[in-house]
Amino acid sequence: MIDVEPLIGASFDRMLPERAVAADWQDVLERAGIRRRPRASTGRYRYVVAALALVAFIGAVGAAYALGYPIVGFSSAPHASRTIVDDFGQLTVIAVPTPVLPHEARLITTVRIDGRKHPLFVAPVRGGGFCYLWGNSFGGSCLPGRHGLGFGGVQGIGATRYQGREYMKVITGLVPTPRATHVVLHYADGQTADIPFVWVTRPIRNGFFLYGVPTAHQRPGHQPIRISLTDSAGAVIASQRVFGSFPVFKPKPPPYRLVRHRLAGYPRLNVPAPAIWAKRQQLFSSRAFNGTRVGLWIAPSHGSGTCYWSNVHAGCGNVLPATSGIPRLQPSGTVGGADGVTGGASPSYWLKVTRGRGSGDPVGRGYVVLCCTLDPRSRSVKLRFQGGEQVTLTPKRGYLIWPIPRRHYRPGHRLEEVDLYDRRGNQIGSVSFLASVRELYPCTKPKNYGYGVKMCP
Amino acid sequence: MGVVGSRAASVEGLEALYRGELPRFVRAASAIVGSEIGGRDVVQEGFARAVRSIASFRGEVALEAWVWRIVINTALEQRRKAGDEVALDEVFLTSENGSAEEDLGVRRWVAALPERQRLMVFLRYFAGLDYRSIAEALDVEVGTVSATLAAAHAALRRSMEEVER
Repeated sequence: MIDVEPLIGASFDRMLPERAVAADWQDVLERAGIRRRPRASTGRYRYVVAALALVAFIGAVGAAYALGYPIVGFSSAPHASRTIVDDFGQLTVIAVPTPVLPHEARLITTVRIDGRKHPLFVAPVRGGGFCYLWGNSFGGSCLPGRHGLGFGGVQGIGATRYQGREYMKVITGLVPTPRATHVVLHYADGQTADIPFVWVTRPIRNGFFLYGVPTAHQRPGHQPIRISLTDSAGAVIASQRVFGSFPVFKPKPPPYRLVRHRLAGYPRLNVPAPAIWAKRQQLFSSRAFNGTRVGLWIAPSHGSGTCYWSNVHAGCGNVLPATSGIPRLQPSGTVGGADGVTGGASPSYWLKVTRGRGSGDPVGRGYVVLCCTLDPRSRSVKLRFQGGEQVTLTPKRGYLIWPIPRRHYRPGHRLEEVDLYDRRGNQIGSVSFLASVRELYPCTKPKNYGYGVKMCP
Repeated sequence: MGVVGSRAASVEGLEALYRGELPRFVRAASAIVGSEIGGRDVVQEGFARAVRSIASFRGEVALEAWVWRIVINTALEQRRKAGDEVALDEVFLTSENGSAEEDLGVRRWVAALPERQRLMVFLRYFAGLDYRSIAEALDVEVGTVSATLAAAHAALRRSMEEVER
């Protein structure tokens, strides 16, 4: 009988992974009709100060309108509330942190759309750049370092569904040059609209806008199609296409199904349907620290090539040698997910450090493996860990699976690099892994990073 | 949770819960309403409702279960408003670990479950709630949760075994 619970859990983790979500408690309070934070007097005092500063800021903006658009002096803008500081602070402790300076966050302006207020908060990033957040569910982003002319990613937020397509309800974006005096939105029916934006002075030096698309322009033939920046003489500085509608997503059919098979002592195995089960060959068998049996099998395919499957991944295709030279690959380091690298542009290998159980359960019994495919010319691989320890393994026909011992879960002891060697002992490849990634390796006690964030380091 | 008491203290407790568990709430709500944007909005609204009605919280169940109940009701309400336009499976946009084929199957099977079973599956696997917490969140007996999830597991098991044959 199939034990469906781990299968569902693991599958859900892949389909809809638990992501870091920017908190917006102020939005909750405003929706609840609470204007002031129900805190001690210091909190209320801070809120009142912020409100007064905002009034002062509005006066300053009025004067600055003479330049064509409002300019906000960053250093004189009101400090953001503690909740917003926490929101930015969480960015400094997520899996791949951004060196934002959360205590420097400021309230820049507030935009009202459909009767709801959306405050804009901006915080500088150490070394240049900034993070921003539009309150009330519209989110934000970080642009560390320098960035070129463009809009820094105009994006549509929300959608109106019409005849199977979705149309933007809100557009947000950045204005990266003070030369721009107008942001112009062009619609498919030839109409245009001036989008108000606000310019923020050093160290931010960027403009920001958030614009509610009128209902009349959330329909085919009338939707936004282009956005442009113009200078005071009306010359276009930059122009960018707006993808005003996009088809509603439907999942693509998979190239082949996976079917479940049982082998004594192993967890349920997901095997590519084209694999000829009767001709399977087991290449690896070992145990993770928690006793789970870990294996990898191959079998010829009903079509052509070879299929493989293991505790963590399966696939089909011909594993071909890499092109000449030593591919020096960079880690992907995805947030909260499998870490590692597939092997370059062509051919594509799947060699990752990944959890044996659902990625949403980093605490406790979960184990981590290095798996699955690599250049078949590899006769040995050398694993290099932080702290200098090395382990040599022998792949078989371009496949490998190895449960990483628990002593290598702790920071300072993790896998950093896998070097591939051919039968003559020449290095033919190298794969790097991001050892500092958080939430990949299980731990017994998640660490409190502050700002309301707890996770395995 | 230690938040039964004054309104201010309870709101603090809600904030702590919000900050600590936001990703789980958003994940489960997204699964129910069919989009991450919608799920996020549902959670914001659900917590706002919790703040508004915190005075009615008597501590008879855990604060977290009480909030889950509110967020789930908000999500179901949102889904009803959206009508048939929201397909449950549209929330699963991508598969990040290279098992899209397998996940597509699970997605279809879960989507085919009866509403109540599907809701409990979401709470169990997206929210990571144990049986007692699910029972408190839905205001049912633990035995009901156990029986409903057992039925859901059996249905999923049958679907999987059919694929194997």
